Amino acid sequence: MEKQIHIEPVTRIEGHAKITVFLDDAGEVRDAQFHVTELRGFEKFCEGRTLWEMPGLTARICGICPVSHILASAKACDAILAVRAPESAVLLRRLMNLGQMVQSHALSFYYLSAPDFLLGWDADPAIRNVVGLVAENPELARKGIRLRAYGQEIINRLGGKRVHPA
Amino acid sequence: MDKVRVATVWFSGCAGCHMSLLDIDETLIDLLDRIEFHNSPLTDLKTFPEDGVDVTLIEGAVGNEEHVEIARLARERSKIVIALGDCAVTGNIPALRNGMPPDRMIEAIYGPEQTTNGALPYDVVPHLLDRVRPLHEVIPVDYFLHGCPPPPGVIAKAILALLDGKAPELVGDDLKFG
Repeated sequence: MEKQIHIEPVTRIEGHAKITVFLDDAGEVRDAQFHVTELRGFEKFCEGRTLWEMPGLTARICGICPVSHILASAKACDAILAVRAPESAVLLRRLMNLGQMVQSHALSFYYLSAPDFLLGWDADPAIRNVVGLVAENPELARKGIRLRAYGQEIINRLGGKRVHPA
Repeated sequence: MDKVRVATVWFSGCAGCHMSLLDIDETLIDLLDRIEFHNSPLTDLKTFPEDGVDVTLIEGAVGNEEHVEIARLARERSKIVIALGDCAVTGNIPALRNGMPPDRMIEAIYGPEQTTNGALPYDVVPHLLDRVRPLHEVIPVDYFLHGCPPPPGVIAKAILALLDGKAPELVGDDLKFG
């Protein structure tokens, strides 16, 4: 009998998803599908709005990497207006982006992936998370939290907020 | 003393409110003496425990049929439900699609001209609601934390008040949107 395995929702990822694994009669994996379950419609509702709204609006695509969206949008707006950002502005943008890389990598590793690596794939799902990591290795967890905070603080100093800086 | 049981959920949002929760930084470690996390995008527990939780924080607006079901389950199994952030409180940016027929929007984004097979996987992916709604239009909400995202200090203040058995006192800047 063909069987399906559902993982729903997929957790400890940056977004909304489900996974379906299809098994054949012999119990071997025949196919696997990754389903993105969230659609907000930025692709459509941004159309026809003013240029000035775009960096702030597109930041809300993702609260983990808002800086990427702000900067991509700002660059597109620069191009539309046919202006070149001054050198110091370019450096400040780059610095903010680096801050984001630090915080996002710290999030991805310490908060999301590390429980698999350090507690084990087969650890009890109830503790296989950042809280379990704090219990198992508090010093490492604290370092991870501080690393993320350092990246977030760079964004905050430059943009006034840690998430969705202006 | 038993720990306070906390669940978190995200609907149509951006994860920014959950990031702001993590932005309490090392205070999180101190809180773990008093709270335990249940189902959450940050844990591997997929749904609410049968015997419920004390507090559920819900980020994001209610945008599809699955969100409605989960919101109702959250209400049924939580003593306190908190709308976490502007999308949950008002609909905010996801509600910018309101007024656009969802089918036409999906067609324009995922339709035959945009994707390789043009198939819309509705057997797995939930249908969008005709209109994005704030959480309180779907279930009764006990507390509202404003902000896009709510500042970490406001989230911490609310959680600490609830741990002491008090209602969070949100005043002045705590109530700012955006």
